[in-house]
Amino acid sequence: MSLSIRYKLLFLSVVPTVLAVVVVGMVLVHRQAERLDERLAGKTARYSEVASVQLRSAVAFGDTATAEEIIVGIAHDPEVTGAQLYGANHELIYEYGATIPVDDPAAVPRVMDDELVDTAAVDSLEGPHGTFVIGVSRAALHQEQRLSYKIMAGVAIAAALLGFIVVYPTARRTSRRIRDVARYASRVANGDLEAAPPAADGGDEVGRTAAAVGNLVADLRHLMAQDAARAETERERLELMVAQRTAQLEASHRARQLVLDHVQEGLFTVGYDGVLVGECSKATVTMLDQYVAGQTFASMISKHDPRASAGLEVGFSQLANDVLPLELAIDQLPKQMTVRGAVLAMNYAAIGDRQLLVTVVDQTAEIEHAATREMEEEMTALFRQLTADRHGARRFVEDARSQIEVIGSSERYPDVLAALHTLKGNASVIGLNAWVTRCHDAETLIAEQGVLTKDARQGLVWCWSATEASLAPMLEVNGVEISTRDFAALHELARGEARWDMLRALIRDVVLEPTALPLGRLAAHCRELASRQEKHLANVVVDDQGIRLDPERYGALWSALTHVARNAVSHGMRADAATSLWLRTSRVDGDVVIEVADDGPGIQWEALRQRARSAGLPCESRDDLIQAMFTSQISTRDSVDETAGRGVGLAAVAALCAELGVTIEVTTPPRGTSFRFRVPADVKREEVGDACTIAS
Amino acid sequence: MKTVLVVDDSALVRRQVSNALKGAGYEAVEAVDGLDARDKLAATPAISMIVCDVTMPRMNGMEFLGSLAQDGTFKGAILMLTTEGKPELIARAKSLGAKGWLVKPFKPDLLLAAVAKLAV
Repeated sequence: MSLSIRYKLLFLSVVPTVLAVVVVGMVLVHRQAERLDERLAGKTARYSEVASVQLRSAVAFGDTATAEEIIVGIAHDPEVTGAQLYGANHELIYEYGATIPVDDPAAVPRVMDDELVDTAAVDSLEGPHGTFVIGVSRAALHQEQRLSYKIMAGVAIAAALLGFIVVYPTARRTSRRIRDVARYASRVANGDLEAAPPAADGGDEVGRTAAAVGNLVADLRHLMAQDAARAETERERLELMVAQRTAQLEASHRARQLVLDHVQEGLFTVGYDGVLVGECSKATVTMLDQYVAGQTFASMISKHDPRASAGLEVGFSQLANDVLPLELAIDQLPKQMTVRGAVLAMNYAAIGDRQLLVTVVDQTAEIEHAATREMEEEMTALFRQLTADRHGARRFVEDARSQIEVIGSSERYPDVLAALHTLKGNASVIGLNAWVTRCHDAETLIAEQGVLTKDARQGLVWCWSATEASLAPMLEVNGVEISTRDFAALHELARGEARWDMLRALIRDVVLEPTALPLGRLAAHCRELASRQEKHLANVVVDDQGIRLDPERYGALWSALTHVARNAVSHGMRADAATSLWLRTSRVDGDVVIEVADDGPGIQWEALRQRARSAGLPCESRDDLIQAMFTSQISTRDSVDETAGRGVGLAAVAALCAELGVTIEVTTPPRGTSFRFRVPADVKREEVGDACTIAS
Repeated sequence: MKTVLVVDDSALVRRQVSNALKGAGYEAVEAVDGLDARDKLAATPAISMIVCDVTMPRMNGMEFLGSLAQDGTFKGAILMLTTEGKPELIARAKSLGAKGWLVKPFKPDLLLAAVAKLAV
């Protein structure tokens, strides 16, 4: 418990005063008692002195009357409480008043509570020694003391009262002032700076404290006002900044939105987890049908293109896993999808923060345009071919028709591969590069995946129907075509005296195809191929010797020979050594020999043997190996390109030759390789006789 | 030198992958299908990574992966070679322990980047 300051002040001012009064009073009383005791002692000493002299006789004679007289005389003093006289043998001679016990007379005088006792020896002249004992009352002393105590108490109370009267108002005022300062400080501490400050009156410490606290709070108020003003200014500045920044952001947002609204590509960002992030360009919604940030890219397109969706799902899972290098993982993402019939190409770019920027471009029009252009190119090539070599073109179309039939329906992949390969070769001769590519892609699919899906096959069939449909009108030929030169020769014969058999032979010959045409086609094709493969083809020698063959019967053979010619370029030539190629038709014992020869490095027998062995074919003799070479799945090439290497071409050639009765000879002169195809003589159709001379 | 097992029935693809790997300083071991790959794996303990096709005769890539998962002896990374149209195969391959996959046809430098990251 703590006393209030006013009581403390009171206590501190009154208690010492009272204590001082009491102490001083006590000292005074004590000294008064000492003085009184001294006076009483003097008195007893005097009485003892008188008695010791005057009571000598009483002692000497045991004279009680004398003793009484003297003692009663002494006892007239009211302060004397008692007196006794003892004889020599301590017998009481006389006693006055109360008996004073004397155990040891030598011990007196002594001060007792109520009285002062003194003893005096009474030595009689006669001899006996008596003892006089006198008691003096200390009542007066006690009375004096009581009075002194009363006075002291009165003085103390008066002092206390005075102190209270004098100090209390001051203490109360001081206490109030201090309390006011304390309350004020407390209110300020509680945040009430507006409270009225305590009065700083009096000029004393409390007043100065009150003034100081008031000033302190005033300063504080001032500082706070300044702070508030500064804060207000700062707030206004920040608000302005925020407003400016917001305006900038809005402007930039508007600008970005304008870009996003007008950019032609679909643009949006996707996290590595495949989840769409933030905004997208307007075209995105148009292309993808919808755009929902927070969804996965895969789920958004799943209803349009489940395959691309699945590809995206696994692609992004790989990306998120960080297993593969980023560039590779991005490269594995699907690049194309189809949404509502539109073919959309997707491009991905890493933009940091584990996000990709996806650009979507609608390629439908481009693809259609490319298809149209491809078609036009096809048509141009075919038309060029038709005008230059109608037989060749018709042959291509007829061959292609049967090859497409196989491709579209056969279940045997070797057959499909052979058809694709032949079609590729023929298309290359004609210049139908689109078909070269299509066939090569299909072959690659079969080689790598072992499958050519029904859809892919059907696609080729439809594609061919379109090619053929646009060709049909140009291919229809009614009647017999005759070249200007043949017609001139015929006319010359008819006008002169020609032999009938000669005329007949010429007329028959007119419908045959000069081998110069297919040989020329082969030569052109080889030149083109060599330049594409960067082979050093120094020279192509075409020697037809004016020979003609039935275009209907041997059309397919010429198509098949494309493979042989292509092989000659692909296998028989190198980039670093000049090689020549011979394409010849000649007549041997009535048969027509078509020869494709080169002076390149020749057949790599050892490689061929290994392949034949691993394919389980006989490989002992050269003949075995040549047989093997014409077997499907054998090729000495290590790599496949669009012209050769699949081991299918020669097998198709061999099959056709067997069907037509054409024999094949492969020879390896000191340099290079020679393929000779011996077409049996057909006297009815091929005997050209002298007409040959006319024709050449 | 790290040794990579290249499993593909297409000689062309095998050669392509092997050449790329050898060019970058890896040792390449070729196998024509899953069974062959198992033999090669047993014969060549140094093999630290497998690049594997999916569609193959005798034992295909999935069966091969399955058999590896069952053995649990091969601890290296497996990278699958597949075509874009087979995401469900990729998912299965991953469940069987393939680390990643490459869509054919692939760029050799990307193959090498993947091998460099996965080979240990």
